[in-house]
Order: sequence, then C-alpha cells, then structure tokens
Amino acid sequence: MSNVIDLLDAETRRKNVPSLTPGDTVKVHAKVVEGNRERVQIFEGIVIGCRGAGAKESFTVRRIAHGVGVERSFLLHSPRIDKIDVVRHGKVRRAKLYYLRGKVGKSARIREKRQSVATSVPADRETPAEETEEAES
Amino acid sequence: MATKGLLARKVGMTQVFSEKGELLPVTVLEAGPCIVIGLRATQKDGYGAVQLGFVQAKEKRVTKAIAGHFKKAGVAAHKHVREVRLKGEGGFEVGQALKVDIFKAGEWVDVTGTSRGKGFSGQHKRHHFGRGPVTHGSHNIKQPGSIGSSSTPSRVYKGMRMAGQLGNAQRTTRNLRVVSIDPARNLLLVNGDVPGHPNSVVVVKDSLRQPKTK
Repeated sequence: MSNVIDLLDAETRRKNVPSLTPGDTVKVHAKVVEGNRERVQIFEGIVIGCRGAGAKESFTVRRIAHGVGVERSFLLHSPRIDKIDVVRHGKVRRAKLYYLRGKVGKSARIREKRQSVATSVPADRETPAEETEEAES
Repeated sequence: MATKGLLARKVGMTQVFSEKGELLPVTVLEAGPCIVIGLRATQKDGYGAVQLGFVQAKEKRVTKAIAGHFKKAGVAAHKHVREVRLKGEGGFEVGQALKVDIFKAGEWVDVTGTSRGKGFSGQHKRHHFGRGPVTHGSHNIKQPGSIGSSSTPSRVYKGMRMAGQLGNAQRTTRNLRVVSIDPARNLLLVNGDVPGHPNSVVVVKDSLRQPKTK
C-alpha cells in the first residue's frame, strides 16, 4: 500500500509545470512577501541543474545581476512560484552546468537548441530527472 | 494524559507543501477506524483508559480467548488491541467507531510504536561513542575505551553504556504537528518521523505536553 505515498506525491505535484532541462533560459515568477503584502518577482536566468523527482523536484537558476553571479534554487512544484516561462532551450551536453560559474561575458553564453524552440512548452510533461542524474556520473 | 487516541498503521514518509510553501517531511499514517472494545474507569479499575481494536479480522484468525472478549463487548474481531490511557473517562462508548477526524490539522500528537530492531549493536551505533584511530597500528577502532578506573572503585559502575540490543523497543515521538487529515482514506499526516518500520502499528494520542510556542 505504499502507493498511498505515490498518490500523495501526485497530489502535491502541480499539473502545469513546464519540463525544464539544464541550459534552458527561464523566467521564474516567484512570490515574495514584503512586510505583509505579497508581490511577484521575476528571476530570469539559465537553469544550471535539476535534481530530485516527484514533489521535491527542484532546479537551480543562475543569472548575472549587477556583475555578480546569483544562483537561486526553486522547488518546481512549490506554491511560492506563480509561473515559469521557458524563454529558450539551450544546447548543452552536461546535466549540471557548474562550469558556467567560472565563466563571464561571452564565454558564459549557451547556444540555442535549434530544433525545438520554446514556442509551445508541453504543459504537463515531467522533467526526466533520473536521466539527468545518470548523465552526470 | 491523553484525552483521545487512535491506532494507526505507519504507511511511510513523503514530503508535502505547507500553506507557506515550505516542503515539510511528513509521516503518513493510516489511522483508524478503531472500535471501542472496552472502557477502564478510575473507580472500578484504578485508571481511566479506552481499549481499541484496529483492522478487522476473521473470527477464526483470533484466539478463542480474544474472540470471547470481542463477543462480550459485542464487536467484530480485530487484529490489534491496545489500551490508551486517558485523562478521566473520556466519554467513549463500547462499540463506538473512532475515525481519523477526532484529530484536526494543526494539533500536536504523540506517536508510540516499536522502533526498528538493529540487533546487538556496538557503542558507536547505540550510544554515539567516538571511534579510535584507524591508522598508526591502532587496534581499538571499535573498542569502547575506558569503562572505569582500576583500584578505585575496582568495579564497573552500573548503567555504564555498553554494546547491546538496539531498537525493537517501545518508543514515543512527542509533539508532532498534524499537517492534515484525510477522512476519506483514513490518512493522518504528521510532521516528522515516527518510530517503527512501514506497516507497523503505532498509537497516536494527543500530546501530553502541548508546546507553548509556535
């Protein structure tokens, strides 16, 4: 009866999350609480890694803000995220793009993946998290 | 002492989001329905308690002694029978079915169960001792170290922590917050871990000492 756990996990997951892969440029609309009011803050950057599966699946976004590299991890199914826009898919050959940390400027760019441009993102497809982890090792 | 209690089956652990958006580790318990088999009153028995049955069983599966006990109470046979000590008499009736909805989200509960058996374990695992050096010809990697001085007192004090049976003992995790209940599936989700392996039977009671803060 451990499928009760699976059911609970499925209920915890959100239905309309995009499938993210490392190298994607995304706009994460995160809810921020300031004092006692809430607003949406957009964090745009490159997905440098995804980890976990199910409800606890998370991804890390890296961006350069005022010349300083900023990385922020989000839980993919978190209710604190308003929505996630995939701006473009990048062409990368690694599951974890940690090498971007040592790079600045032109060398920190990622080429765009040609064949599947992010005009329509499959709404309810799962990110193949296990595949990415295998590719890492 | 508790005012209410329920027998439950530990299903396992998972993570769910709280209203604030935090990912909480939760233990999923299949709590109840439990049937009240008997009552203990302070005047008559010297203590107040309610005897609960959990998971209905075929009558031929229980011993004749227990079967007679169920028959006397006028309830169907159940696999697990436990008493839950109560503060006062509790106001339950024999034959009454208790469901998970006696608890509500946000409440504090104590969960008692039998911890996982680890067998005969050494000091490191059982009492979190440190280990000796692993190199330089050391031979006391897993030894306990000194267990007392020599001429005075010339004996080992009682209660010295040593190797022995670890786990497979009754343990209570206190003050776990009920995250949510699901009356349709008899599920009780508590924040944090609970003694025992999946499928083990645990007793859920409202907390003995309610935390003041939080």
